[in-house]
Amino acid sequence: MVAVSGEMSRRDFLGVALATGVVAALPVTAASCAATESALGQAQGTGGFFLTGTRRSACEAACARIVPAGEDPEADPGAAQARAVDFIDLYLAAFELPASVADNPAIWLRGRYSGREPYPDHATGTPSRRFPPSSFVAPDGQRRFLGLTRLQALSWRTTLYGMSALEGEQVSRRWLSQVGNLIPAQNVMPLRKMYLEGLDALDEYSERHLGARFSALRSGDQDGVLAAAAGTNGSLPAPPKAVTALFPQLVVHTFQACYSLPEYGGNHDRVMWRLIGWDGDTQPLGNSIYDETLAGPGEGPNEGFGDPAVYQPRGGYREYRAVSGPDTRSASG
Amino acid sequence: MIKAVVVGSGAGGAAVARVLARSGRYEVLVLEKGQNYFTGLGGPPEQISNLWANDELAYQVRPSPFDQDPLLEPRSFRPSVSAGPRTFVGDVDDLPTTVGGGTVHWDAKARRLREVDFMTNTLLGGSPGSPAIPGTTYSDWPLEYRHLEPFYGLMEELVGIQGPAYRSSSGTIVNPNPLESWRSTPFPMPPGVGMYSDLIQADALRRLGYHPAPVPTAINSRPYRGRPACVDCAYCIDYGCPNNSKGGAIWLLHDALATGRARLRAGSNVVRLEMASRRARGGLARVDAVTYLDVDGRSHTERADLVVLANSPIEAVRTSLASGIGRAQPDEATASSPQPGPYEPSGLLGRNLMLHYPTVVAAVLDNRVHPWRGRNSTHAFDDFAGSGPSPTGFDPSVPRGGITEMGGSVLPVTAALTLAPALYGEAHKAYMTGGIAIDRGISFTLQGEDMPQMTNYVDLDPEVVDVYGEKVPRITYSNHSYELSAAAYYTPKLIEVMDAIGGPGSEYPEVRSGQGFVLPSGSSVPGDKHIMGTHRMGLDPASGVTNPYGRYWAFSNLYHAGGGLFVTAPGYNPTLTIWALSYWSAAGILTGAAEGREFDPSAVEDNWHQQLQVVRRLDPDTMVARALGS
Repeated sequence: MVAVSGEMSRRDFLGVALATGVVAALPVTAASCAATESALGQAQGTGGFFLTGTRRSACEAACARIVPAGEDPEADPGAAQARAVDFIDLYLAAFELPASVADNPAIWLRGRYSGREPYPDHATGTPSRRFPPSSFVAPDGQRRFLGLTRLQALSWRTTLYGMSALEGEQVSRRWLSQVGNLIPAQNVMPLRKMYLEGLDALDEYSERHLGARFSALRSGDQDGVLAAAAGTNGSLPAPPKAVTALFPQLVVHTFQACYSLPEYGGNHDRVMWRLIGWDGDTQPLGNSIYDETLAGPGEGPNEGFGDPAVYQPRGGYREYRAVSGPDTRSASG
Repeated sequence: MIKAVVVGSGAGGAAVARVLARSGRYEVLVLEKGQNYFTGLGGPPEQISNLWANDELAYQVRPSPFDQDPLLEPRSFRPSVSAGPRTFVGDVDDLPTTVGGGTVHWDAKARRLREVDFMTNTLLGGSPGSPAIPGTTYSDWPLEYRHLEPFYGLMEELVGIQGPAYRSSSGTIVNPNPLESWRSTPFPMPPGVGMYSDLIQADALRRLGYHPAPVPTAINSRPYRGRPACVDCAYCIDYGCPNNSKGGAIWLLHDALATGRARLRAGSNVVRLEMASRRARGGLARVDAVTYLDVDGRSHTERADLVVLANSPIEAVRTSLASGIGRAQPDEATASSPQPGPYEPSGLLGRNLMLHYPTVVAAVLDNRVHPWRGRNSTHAFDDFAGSGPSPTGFDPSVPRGGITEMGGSVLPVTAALTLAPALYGEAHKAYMTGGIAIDRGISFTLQGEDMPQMTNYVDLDPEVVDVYGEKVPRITYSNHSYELSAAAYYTPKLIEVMDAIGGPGSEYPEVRSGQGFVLPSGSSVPGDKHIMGTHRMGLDPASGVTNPYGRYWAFSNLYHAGGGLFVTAPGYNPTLTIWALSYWSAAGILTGAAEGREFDPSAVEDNWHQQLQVVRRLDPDTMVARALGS
């Protein structure tokens, strides 16, 4: 994806922050690595649709080192507590989930609300006690996703299954002949294959060089293997391509798992949002509540706006979470 | 009833559809390539719902439900003809493909251009046919600010814009932003809650003598037209609004559907215009049908008396070229000259593609200022847009940059991914819990004016096709030295402001600035969503692809609506001007003004009085209609 526009440029923000050394100046706490080991294997949930057995264990263990927990996983959780492996599994199996789990391919949740936040009460400017039902999960546990058009399904299938997903589909032959030639196809990664081969290779590599499957290694050794996969560990031999190709994807998916909506399978019980002080999805309450009895604030009074004969605005705001001033909950630098 | 087919349901298409449908003389079919994620449009406003969510994964991380797929529907790009047929194939300036178009994901900044922006070529010392800036096709617009002013006001009311200008008790309009041009009506709603981070930035600007102000925004600050007030949820740019507080083309489309004389057909990808065998009166060509593909790729043909191409400045060129209008590929050796083609006497179709040239200056503050709570950005300043707003006292030596928006943080998944895969493990945790990207990063984004150039153009790629086998648009584009120089001129000034944020003597002594730094653009391939030009309007075929009402010169019934009509690309968010021009064009269609064969300024003036009659008749219950009188 290209994101160059002024409107989108805030996404690019951190690339430069890194370059300017902001991140290098960060304090890195030396947390014990042992704590995460006990947390492994505790994850339960939607898992096991695509990644099963040793592959699931390897994936789960790698996620737990990519976003590690601190000494007290409850106070300082990581990818294991967030159940990142469930997120990855749900994604890779997006087109093969039973109806009891998802009504459509598990790509985009269907809005509008999670049901975690109440409606605002405009008469008092405070949160009401009425909560919308969750749009994302039905009472019987079935998750609700947007239905995909033929083209959208084709696109996501090629991402997950590779070009074989196009077999038997009505597509232009001329276009097909251009894919991989005129039209770059590097964005078509058979992601499922990459995970299966990469996780198997990760276990083989770990056994060969450190004497045990990846999930059975001590966390220090796991970190060493991942550093080798990232190309930043010269003391171990270079891992096979299946491992080095999987590693960046695994980092990306672990991050997605940790900080996105819990209905996608990760960020279990919003542990990671709490850790970083993120409000999460705030609709329909939001951060400021319109109050029809107030005369302001906002940056102007209501008088003078609109036209009494046509439309006259009224009301003002209370800020439920600070919008226009310091946030007392997380004010410290 | 006259049957109008409107191609595209974004800003331009929805506005034209609304006016035509309300006239009572047209039945309107809106064909939209993307999907409809709204329910209840055309019914009671409070029952309109949608399928959007506060879902960062779906709308900012994964390709979103309204993204064009770069593999299935690519475009191609090259910086210049000397670079060969193409240097890149994929996403090039793709706009969202969905009902509502680019006004679903936007953060809804709704700016007017200024008086000077319609006549800058003259003010800079140029004359018709003689651009003041060498190497460009810089030119005045065929209409003036005063012509568009009532349409600006009207669209501010119809869409619902919050902004700072109000009517004083003596009846005059008071505008806290002194750098905007005069206006005859106030905003319908006052500004909502200002974001802490923007207020801090505005304070630094004021201390340095600049003029920050709440930015006019198409987001409800009060309940308005059956839709609720914004709750400042933090998921704004890139997101559809679950609350329906965000204004956009969808609400104009809703008005059109509510008349009962308009229909919306989503999932309809128009690939061809069908030429009528019989010409219209005066020998003009006619389009009598459009051919479109449905979501399963099946072909359909829809008869039409009037066709409005509102499928973006780039896609409209593609549709026309694929239909045999103009030259599919200009002769590259003479690309800097107009090249007339079949049904296209101007030789300018696809030329003068303009974007905005963004300059981003960022800083990491010592403090957490939660720049994500709010409407993405609530304040802007216009001091770097160039001399103005009035032609009186115009200083041609001031470089023309653009408005500067405040804001800057990212949401958590994006924050994490920006440094992936390099930063993981303990360092990643420290980075995330430190709130660096999420809570402490702020920025200025200057939307720099981009020069019109003949050699920046859209044509059909001679080889690359999409999944349907249709030739894709090719974008040939390089920046002119003007916008690069203007950016270089204003960049140190932006850094100076950044470094002045907070600290002793400010209103926010608790806030300490980090050091401002320039954020380089991430790619050489254009990705800007402010897309203008390609269908420049003019008083005659020598100066524009369309007449001043958007009609293709060789056709009696083919129009473009949208940013394509812009003659220049002043550094203001284009959507409100697209809306105002779309009402202007549709009113010109209804009065018959748009059928004219040649125009001079006095014809535009005479027609304008007729167009205002349309406003009085179709939208009598507006402040603008009341201000116009009977």
